[in-house]
Parts: sequence; C-alpha cells; structure tokens
Amino acid sequence: MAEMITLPTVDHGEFKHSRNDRWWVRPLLQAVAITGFIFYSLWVIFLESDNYKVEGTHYISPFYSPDLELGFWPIEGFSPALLLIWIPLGFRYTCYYARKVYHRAFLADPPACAVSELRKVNHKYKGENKLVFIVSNLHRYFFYLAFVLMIVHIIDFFLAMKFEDGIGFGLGTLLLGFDALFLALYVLSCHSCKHVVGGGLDCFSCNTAVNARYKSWKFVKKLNENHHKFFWLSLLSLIVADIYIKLLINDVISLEFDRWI
Amino acid sequence: MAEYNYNLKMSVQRGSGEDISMVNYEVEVDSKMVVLDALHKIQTDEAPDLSIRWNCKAGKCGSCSAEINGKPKLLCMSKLSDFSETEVMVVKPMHTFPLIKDLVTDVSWNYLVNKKIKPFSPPDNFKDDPKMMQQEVDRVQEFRKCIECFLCQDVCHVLRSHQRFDVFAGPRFMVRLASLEMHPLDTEDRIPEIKNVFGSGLCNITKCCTEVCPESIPITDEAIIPLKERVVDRYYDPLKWIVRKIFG
Ligand code: SF4
Ligand code: SF4
Ligand code: FES
Ligand code: FES
Repeated sequence: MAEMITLPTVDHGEFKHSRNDRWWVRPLLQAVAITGFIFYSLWVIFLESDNYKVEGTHYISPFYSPDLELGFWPIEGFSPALLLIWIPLGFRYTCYYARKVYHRAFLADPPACAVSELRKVNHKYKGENKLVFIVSNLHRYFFYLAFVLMIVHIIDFFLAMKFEDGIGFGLGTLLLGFDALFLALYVLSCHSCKHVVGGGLDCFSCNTAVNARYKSWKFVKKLNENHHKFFWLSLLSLIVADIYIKLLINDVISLEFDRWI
Repeated sequence: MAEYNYNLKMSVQRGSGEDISMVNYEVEVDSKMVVLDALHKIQTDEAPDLSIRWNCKAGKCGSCSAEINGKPKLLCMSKLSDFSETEVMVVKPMHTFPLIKDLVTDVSWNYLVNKKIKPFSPPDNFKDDPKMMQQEVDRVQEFRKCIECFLCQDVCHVLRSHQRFDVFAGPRFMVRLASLEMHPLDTEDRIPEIKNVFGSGLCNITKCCTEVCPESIPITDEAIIPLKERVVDRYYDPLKWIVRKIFG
C-alpha cells in the first residue's frame, strides 16, 4: 500500500487568522441555539414528563412519541417513551451536518474557515478515527431507526385528526403535521439514506433493476442539498409543537380556539 | 456599474524564510479590476520584484491561489467591487504550504500525493470508445471541473492547523479518489487506501473545502461523505461484516 509524504511542521498560535469579517457570528448563534435546545429537552424530559397528552384529543407531544404503554414501568413521573430517546439523540449526534455544527461551534476545530484552532496545534489529531467521534460511523443504523420513528410521527399526525366527537382538524393537528413533515424531510435527506438508496452503486445503467435505485438516489440527492435546513426546521417544529401542547394542557389556549374543523 | 477610479490601500506579505513582513501600498485602481490586476499595478509601478504565480487570468489554471483578507481565493477571480474601497486589503500567500517568496508557495506536496493514487483501471475487454450513460457521467464529470488550485487543501484544518500531511491526502484528492471509485468502468479497489493511507477518517465534515472551491464542487457532500459511507460498508458496518464472513 502507498505511504504518504511528510512536510515539515510549523507551530501556529491559537485563533490566528487574517479574516476581517464577523466569522464568529454563525458558530456563536448555532452554539446558542443547540445549547437552548439541549436545556429545553432536559426540562421537558426531567421536569415535565407527565405533561404531554391533551385530554379530549389525540395530541401528544412529539418528544414523547411513540407513546409507549408498559405494564412494568417502575419510574413514577417519567414516561416510558424516554426508553427510546437515544434514537433521535444518536441520530442527530451522528448526523453529518450536526458534525459540522458541533465541531465548529463547540469544539472550535476549526471555529471557522482559515481560522486556527482554539488549542495548541495537535500534530496527533486523528479526527473521526478515534472515540468518541468514531461512533459516527454507525450513523446508518441510527438512520434505520429514525426511519421507523418518522413513520410513528406520521401516524401521530393522522391520529391528531381524531377527536372525542369524531374526525377534525385543529392548530395542534397542523403543528404535529409540520413536525412529521420536517422530520420526514430531515430523515429522507440523510447522507446515509442517499448512500443506501443508490449512492453506493458505481453503475446506474448496468441492469434494469438499478434504474429504480438511480431515480431514488436522484430524488434523495435533491433533498440532501437542503439537509441543513431540514435539520433546523425539524428541531424548530418539534419545539413549537411541544410548547403548543403544553399551552393546551395548561389551559392557556382553549380547545375551542384550537379546533378549526 | 459604471467604471470609476479610486485609491486602494493594500497590505501585501513580502519576503521569504525568516525575513517576512507586511508591506503597505496605495494603488490607483478602477472598480472593474480584479485583485490580480491591482497586484500587477504594484509590480509595474513600485515593486518589480513582487512574486506572484499566475497564468490564465480566467480562473482556469489554478495558479493564482492566495488569501485575501484571510480567505483563500483566486486572485484573478476576486473582483475589487466585492471589497471595501476604504479598508486596507490584506493579501497573503496560502498559509498551508511552504513559502517560496512573497505570494508564491511550494505546492509540490500535492503532486506527490497525486502520484500515490492508483490510476483509472478499465476492464480487460475495454474498447477504445466505450459507451457510458449520461447519468453515470454526470456524477464523475462534476469532479473533473477541479482546476487544482489547492485552495481546499489550504483551508482544510487537518492540513492547515494539524499539519497531518503524513496521514491525510486532503479534499482535492478525496475528489480525485471519488471520481475514480465511482467510475462505472473502473475495476480498481481503493477503499483500503482511502481509509488507511489517504485518511478519510480525519475529515470531520466541517466543509471549509466546499466553501472555498472556486469551481463550486460540492466536495464534502458528493465526494468525501460518499467515500466515508463506502469505508463504513467495508470496515464499520457490523451487519455487512457478518454477511461477508458467512457468504464470503
Ligand atoms: S470537510 Fe473535511 S476535507 Fe473539507 S475542509 Fe473540512 S476537514 Fe478538510
Ligand atoms: S476541488 Fe476545488 S478548491 Fe480543491 S483544488 Fe479543485 S478546484 Fe481547487
Ligand atoms: S441525518 Fe444528517 S446526515 Fe444523516
Ligand atoms: S491565473 Fe489562472 S486561475 Fe488565476
């Protein structure tokens, strides 16, 4: 096997750069947004965990979907849905786009393009070849699980059209619809999805069976160009739906206001 | 936009070895010029010994790579109208490669890496004019737009900051490797080298290469991530590993 060629190494100071634009704004905003999301999720999971269903409707906070009913669940005050919380967390943690965001915004590795790192130069840098980043190589498994989760969220959207007096449609249905839609777009635009449907093939025309895979790959490739937007939109729609459901539960918004049809 | 003249203040890195300094110039320019024109004016009027590498002045030869206000760019494709007329424009050579003089760096490391890549290997029955479907050509063609300006290599933090020249080939060569690996008529297997020699695992997807590529090649999304997925197929996917062990 070939061997690489070495160049003499030089030490550079920290945060060395000649950029005169506000390169730090984006990583800062992203760090604030992600930190906000993490704190909000912790609050929802640990302090609000029996507060996720709206009486008289089938609205359920997307944080608690799927709504597991376990006979033997021992932890009072926590929903068994928490058993599955590692799926969306793992999916997002290993997401290729999220990797860009957290490496830039939290680890400053690099904080922005052509800006040197926060730490002293690490000539032993191994990137995603070492723990914990090597786990990202299992992203496709999280994708498979997230695909199932996406179907559950779509089912939740349809269930949200069921009310005590029959079929209807409310603001809550719409917000759960957005949650399911953006989650679906986020999941389907995933790089692992693109690879699985056809990206791993070299020859798209070698036999007729691969033609369907070629078309799916083309479709996912188009979605994939907007993957970063779907990452943020799916986070936003999740939080908006959750807040709305909390407002309904606490009677800040009435069910009469919610219901359109 | 109408053409008009103004005085541009430029601070240009000069010198070589230990003897490096930023030298200020004031050049009369017009708004239709590019940064390379302004540097040529400095050469003509004030500093005939200012070294710049350039060739086509059309964004096609990839020679005039440098850093303008800290951002890796082609000097010949950077219009003055995109920069402030009043602030000092800072021009430096590419940071990642050994400096020769002024704005010229030694990029020969890249050519050595290139030679390490197994070339295109067609099948034995390869005809002189093989037919390929456009759908296959599209994906590989995009990679062939590369002009080897090495701006992506310059900005990539694995080379620029961590200086892992010994274990990472850099985004430009991930593009070349992808164009060969995804070629429907290629028979060579480069996945072991992509992981173990060219270091696909060192890239942490921070996408600076994509941001600076003057040919707008989606380097990370279309070359590096798909190669990483192929490396996962071979080395990290436990199910695929079991299937290979059982069925050979
Ligand atoms: S995406 Fe990878 S190859 Fe490109 S600049 Fe970042 S670390 Fe380097
Ligand atoms: S991939 Fe783009 S940035 Fe990198 S060498 Fe080629 S043209 Fe330049
Ligand atoms: S979810 Fe972002 S790449 Fe898979
Ligand atoms: S001079 Fe050829 S790319 Fe700039």
